[in-house]
Amino acid sequence: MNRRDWLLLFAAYEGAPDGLDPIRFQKGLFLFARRARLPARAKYTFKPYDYGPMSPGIYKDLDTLVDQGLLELVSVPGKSWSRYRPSKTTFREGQRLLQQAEKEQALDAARELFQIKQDVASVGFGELLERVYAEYPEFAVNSIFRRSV
Amino acid sequence: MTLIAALRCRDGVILGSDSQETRGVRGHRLARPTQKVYEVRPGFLLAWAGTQDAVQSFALKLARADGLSPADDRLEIKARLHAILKELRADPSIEGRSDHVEFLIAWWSRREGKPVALHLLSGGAGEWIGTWAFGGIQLGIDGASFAVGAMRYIDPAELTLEQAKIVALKVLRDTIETNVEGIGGRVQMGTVRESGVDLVKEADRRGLHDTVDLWEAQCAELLPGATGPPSESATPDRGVRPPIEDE
Repeated sequence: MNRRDWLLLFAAYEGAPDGLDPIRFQKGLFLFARRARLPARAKYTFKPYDYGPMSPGIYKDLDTLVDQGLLELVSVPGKSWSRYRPSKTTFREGQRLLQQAEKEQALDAARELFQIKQDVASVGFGELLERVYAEYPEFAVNSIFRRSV
Repeated sequence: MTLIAALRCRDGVILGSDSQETRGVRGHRLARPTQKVYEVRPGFLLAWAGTQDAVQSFALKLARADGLSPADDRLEIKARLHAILKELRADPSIEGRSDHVEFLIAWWSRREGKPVALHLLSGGAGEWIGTWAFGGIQLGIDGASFAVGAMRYIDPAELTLEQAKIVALKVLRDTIETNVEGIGGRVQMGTVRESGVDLVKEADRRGLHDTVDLWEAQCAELLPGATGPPSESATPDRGVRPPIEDE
């Protein structure tokens, strides 16, 4: 499985039925890159950015998944930002990717990714950033947001 | 029609604009994307508003001007820029020479060791920019000024260049999103710092927008009754999950 497959699996997992914003995709896939025991091609490369770790490749792949009809880009009512929402196709692909992960003996990584999704989907932005910054301070060096600790 | 903006902060200057060029008269207008912020010559960042032939002539003359450098005295640079404008107003080959044209020009003054920015008008006026400056369509200037007023608790002089980019993007984005007639499209931005001029590219533009979104979202989270995290959605969850680990 390549990194875009893991990105799609992250989107297909339960935990955020209305979809996730780009920041949570960035943070989720960053935590996955740090924690999962997988080859480099399965992970995105991150740099310390304005809001902590950021990978331009995630933006590119999210665009590709939308273009391929595997994710829907929906605007959030009353807000400036959008979310990437899973559809039936996303869930079907998610099941296929789980079978693929089993074949590749990567179910531990799939479980790790599932847990990360539950974590990033269940906290507010402030807390999410604080957690990532606390665990990986080297990726907070360019953050423009003041830290609370 | 255009909105251009300059923001001078602690360690640099940001120039920004909308990206829409409008032609024609009311009811018969055509809009198309155009580049309004660019490095006109090494070390000099330019943003423009006004008729394109006058702007292009100014930019061309500036680009070809002999020996003009950010290392020069800023008053000398200002005098050279005024001379170019004067030449332009006297040139009969430029149809829009008498139309109103505005420029924001920024560079890193090597003599003073700080960023400087100038608001230049084709009529001859030229003002040094303290913190914010806007040019272009009046309704856009009013909208942007209001957006800045709504963030008057932020002191630009205290901001790093990266923070100032976010503030400038928010002001431009909010103004464009209010649908001021004649301005629109993506926000263009460039920066001047000691190390030189940079134009914000596509990948960075996405990141900057997400940073502004994040800023707004965190503000919203502070208020009572704010929407909870995604997991609290009432929508039925049809997502997949991995098999439970064998004991």
